[in-house]
Amino acid sequence: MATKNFSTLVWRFLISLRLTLFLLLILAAACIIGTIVPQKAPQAEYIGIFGEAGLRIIEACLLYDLFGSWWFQATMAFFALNLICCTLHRTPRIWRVLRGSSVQPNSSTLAGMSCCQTVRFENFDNACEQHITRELSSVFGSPSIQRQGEATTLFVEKGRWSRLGFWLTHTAVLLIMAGSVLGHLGFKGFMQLYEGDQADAIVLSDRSGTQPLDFTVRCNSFEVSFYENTGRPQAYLSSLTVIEKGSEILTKEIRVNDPLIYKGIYFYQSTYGTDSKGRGTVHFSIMSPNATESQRVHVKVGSSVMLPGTQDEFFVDSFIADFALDEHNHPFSRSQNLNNPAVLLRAQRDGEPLFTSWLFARHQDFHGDQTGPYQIRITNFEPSYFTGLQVAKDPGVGFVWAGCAFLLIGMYIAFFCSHRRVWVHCEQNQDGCLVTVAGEANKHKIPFKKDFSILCERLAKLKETA
Amino acid sequence: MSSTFLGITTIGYLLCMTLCFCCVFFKSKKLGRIVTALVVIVAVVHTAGLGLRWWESYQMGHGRVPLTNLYEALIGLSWTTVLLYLYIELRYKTRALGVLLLPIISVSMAYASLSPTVSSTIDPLIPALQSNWLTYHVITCFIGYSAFAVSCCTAFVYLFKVRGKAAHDENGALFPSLDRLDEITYRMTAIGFLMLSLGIITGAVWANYAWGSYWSWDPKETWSLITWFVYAAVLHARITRGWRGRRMAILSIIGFACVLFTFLGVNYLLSGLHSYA
Repeated sequence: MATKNFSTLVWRFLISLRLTLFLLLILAAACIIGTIVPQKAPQAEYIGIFGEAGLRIIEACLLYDLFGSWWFQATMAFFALNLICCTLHRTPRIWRVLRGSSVQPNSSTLAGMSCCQTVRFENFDNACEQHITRELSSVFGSPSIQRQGEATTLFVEKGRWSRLGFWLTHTAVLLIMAGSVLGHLGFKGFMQLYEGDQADAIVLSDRSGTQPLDFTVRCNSFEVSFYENTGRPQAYLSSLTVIEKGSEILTKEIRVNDPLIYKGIYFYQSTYGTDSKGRGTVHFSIMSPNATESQRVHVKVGSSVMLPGTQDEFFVDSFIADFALDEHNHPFSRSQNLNNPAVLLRAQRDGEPLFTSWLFARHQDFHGDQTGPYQIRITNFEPSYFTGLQVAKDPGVGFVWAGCAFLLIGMYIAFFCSHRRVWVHCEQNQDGCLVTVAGEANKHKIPFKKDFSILCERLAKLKETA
Repeated sequence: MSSTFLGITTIGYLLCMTLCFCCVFFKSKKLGRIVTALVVIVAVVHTAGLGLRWWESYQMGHGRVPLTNLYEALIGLSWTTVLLYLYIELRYKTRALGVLLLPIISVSMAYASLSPTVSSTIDPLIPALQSNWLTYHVITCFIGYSAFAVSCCTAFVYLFKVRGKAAHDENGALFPSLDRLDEITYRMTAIGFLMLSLGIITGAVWANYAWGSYWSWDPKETWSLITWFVYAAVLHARITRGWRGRRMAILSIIGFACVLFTFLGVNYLLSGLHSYA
């Protein structure tokens, strides 16, 4: 007996609205703290804002990662439990109403309803009943008619399904929460690809390691455009190709707000940057002997170009942004800035070496006599860009969107639709006919009462003419 | 060009507000009709101003919805609020609510136009904002905010009326009855809640498309969730517990305080993904 009482108490506690309100306010308060205390910031920042004592509290209560802390998630779980219990508790009642009841209420039940009025008709006949039916139809909708001996009951019901509003909204929140839990089975990471490069693994965002993919992603090209004047990026886009088991599966140009999706894994255009390894395209102006005008060519670092009209092929073997020589006389780049850009240029004529020489953009005449018959100048260098891709897999996202859709539909039903029922009970006796009009609505009672009084007025008028 | 229109709009709303005060003070019904007519005219100018700004952004080659910085947000929010105000006037046949709503609209317009910290230039959009979801997200949020603003105003009127009832009742005749006020407060809270949910959801869908994560506990997101929790509590108290009248009014005002913090406080006091708006 004691255990039964105890379990009843626990159940009552779990389905109580008081608990819901309490949890909502606790969650709101926790969220407020989560926005005041910067999340996942370095320790020094906390000391700067809150002091040493503040830092101790923050570390003790896990406030530096509040939304990931066990106590916040436990509160959320408790909230979910509260929701589940409330939904289970109310589901049988909703189910009963949804199935509808075949038994019509008698006159005493009708009298107990929030809206009830009786009109006595002295001469009641079939025509009269038809008039009543017509009035009822025009105000509330067409009724079903049930006869039982001398009594006739007209019954109108509208929006029974609107009782589902509760069920939909509450299930929706549970679905969203389930989706967010499922999301932990996925991953979030990052991938950097230079033009032409490919990769089959990503670096995880929480720096816990890498996540291999069972396919390869190649960046075919990357482009960025800037707004005039301001220099702010206007758009950046990468062309990506998915390669699986050696064959190209699909190619897509992605941009911010338009990701590539393959096997549930999303590749988002996130950032970009310039190459630090000296890749890019070098532009030259080449003056041939006996020519009056120089020719302009551009070569990608690591590739070559044929000078038009000749048998001479120019190779750019390497590019160094900030050229210097180390103690062994080997060239290296002092920094990533274009302080002393240098290009190792090699030329061949009919496959025979012509010359090999370092060219310097800042000191164009440094090796002026080493480039065979040509006078060559570097006119421009365009560094290669890498594209920064955010990669995410979230198996719970479908649940979340389903929950969102449920929530919106449910809310619409809950706020704007109501379940209305109206009965007109006509009972013949020796003094004529007693007509009882009764009805109820589960929501929007004021407009219902208005419609109800319109119906009653019309019936009163009907009585006068009858 | 659009700034001239919006300047006229600001002055227009200030005038409407003054006239509305006079209308309530002198209890003149005729003046009330004039105020309504004037608000309609100013709202048309307001709409034209927003439309022009949109058109101008295309002329400048940016082509974007005029709802992307604080200046435009304040003007857009005033716009949705004034439309909702006119709807309520029509639906509930009451003029006096302008006494509280017109000052909100005027102040937000004036703040947008005059504050030196609010830039009114039409800047191009960074790539993350170039999406249709921007429009859906901002508009749904703004309708929600406006509905909450209206519910807060009716809640205030309710409280004033309850307090003033003992002293003298004649002032009350201008305003809707207590039941009516309570009903408008509830309806607007419900609409606001639905639109806030829609705003949060469109934001989540967009974030999922732009960043690969539908929720990232950014301060603005978190505050919108706090507001959602508070209004969820308010609506449960009303629907399930039957809280009405004074308690409901006070809760609506608390809810609106959260809305204000979500809209403005977060931008000024906290930083995050929404720092541009």
